[in-house]
Amino acid sequence: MNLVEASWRTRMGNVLSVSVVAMVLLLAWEATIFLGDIHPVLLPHSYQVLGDAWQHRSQLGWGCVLTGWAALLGLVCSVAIGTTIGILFSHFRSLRIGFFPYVMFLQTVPIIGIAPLLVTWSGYQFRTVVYVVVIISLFPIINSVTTGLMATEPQLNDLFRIYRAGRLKTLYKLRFPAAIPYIMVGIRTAAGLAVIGAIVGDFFIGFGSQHDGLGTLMLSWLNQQRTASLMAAMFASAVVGLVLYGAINLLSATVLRRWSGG
Amino acid sequence: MFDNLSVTISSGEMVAVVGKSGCGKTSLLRVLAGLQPLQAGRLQFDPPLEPQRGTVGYVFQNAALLPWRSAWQNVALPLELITRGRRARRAELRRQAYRWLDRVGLAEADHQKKPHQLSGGMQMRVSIARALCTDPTLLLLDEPFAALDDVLRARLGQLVQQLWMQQSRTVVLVTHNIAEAVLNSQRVLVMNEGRITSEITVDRPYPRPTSIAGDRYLLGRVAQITEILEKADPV
Repeated sequence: MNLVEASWRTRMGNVLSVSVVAMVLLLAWEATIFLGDIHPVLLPHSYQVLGDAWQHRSQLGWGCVLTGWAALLGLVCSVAIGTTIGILFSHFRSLRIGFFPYVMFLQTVPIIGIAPLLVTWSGYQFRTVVYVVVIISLFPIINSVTTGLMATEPQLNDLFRIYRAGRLKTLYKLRFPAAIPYIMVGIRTAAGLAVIGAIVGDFFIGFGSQHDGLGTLMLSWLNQQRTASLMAAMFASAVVGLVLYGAINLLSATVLRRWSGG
Repeated sequence: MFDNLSVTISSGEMVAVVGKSGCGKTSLLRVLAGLQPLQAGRLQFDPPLEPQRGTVGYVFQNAALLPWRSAWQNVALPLELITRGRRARRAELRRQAYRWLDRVGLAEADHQKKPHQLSGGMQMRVSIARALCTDPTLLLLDEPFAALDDVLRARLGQLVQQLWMQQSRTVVLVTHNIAEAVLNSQRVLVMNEGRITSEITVDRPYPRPTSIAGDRYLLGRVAQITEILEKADPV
């Protein structure tokens, strides 16, 4: 058996495992409804969820696009802002000590507490959802960039000092490339948070706006007690998360392969 | 760290520094490289070194290569760093890096490889080429062969001797291996607790044999240094 065949067999084995687990979960779902005699408003049948997903396919599709776009845009902004702040923190100790507690605030304060404030300041706009995403996903980026830039191997720093390389040259030829594995971990963490942030943002700006992101749809269907549609939206948001996370993972693997030549 | 240190190194000399762990060998190299100041004592070159960028080459114990750069790009790095103001032309950097990699005996097929694709000995060759590519007047070697097997140690020791003979630059080799120090250098400085306690001259012409075995003069020097170290630090 050659390597290609072995790899194909492993993949098929993985697909089979995932499919078997999905079948077991579906059976457990249906069995719970049947044995517990549960009303569809509390827990609809899986085929009802599928039917509602098909019925609202255009709304769900557009919702996925809006929420996914907000998450991606917010993530890109987070990476740009977080990288800049991380570079400044790694270079200026006083800046790092002075500002780090306030950056921690981003991590500790519940986003549900900040989102209404953002709506007050920025209005019921798409950009408000992007702001929510930036706030929720910024901390992992700042943390990973700062840690990565400060974790350069001492001998490599010595090498650059021997040749009297300036700060800027040391940054772009040594410290930044050396920090890439740390930064990729930060971006992966931030990607997962970005989708959560986009849906939370949707919840708050949904009312009174033309924005029909997945969070807005969920809130609307929750108020109408359309549980099957609500669950369809929930699965759609999981798809958005998986797509974004998968894309970031692919990017990370490509960058790291190039980084180490593996 | 240093206690009344007094060292004079002549231009074109091949000096080895030996001593037990923690006696200040690496710190001495760091002072020579300008990485840390000498707070007490005297350390001078005869004649004094020109304080220019690229006059010092440093080989670290673990090669210290940049993993995202290929072998030739690692070698070209010091040239990029000392080129101030204008961007060094890639083709020229590549040509020079290839030339140095050829000189240290790395096959051309390996010039494009990333460090993790090279063996420990190959990585050390790249590290030596990187230290030499600016044509430094002072080459500092910090236990460069410590992690290598005996055969590779002997080969790379011969390589350093050859490179030194071709362009008699000043070489300071720090090692805990007394035989390696005697085999490669003209003078061995014995360090203990931040001081140079003895200086042993090794008056043997180059090229030297690949091993001290069978050479009574070199064996005698090794025995002499071993005795000094044992007296300084009795077990």
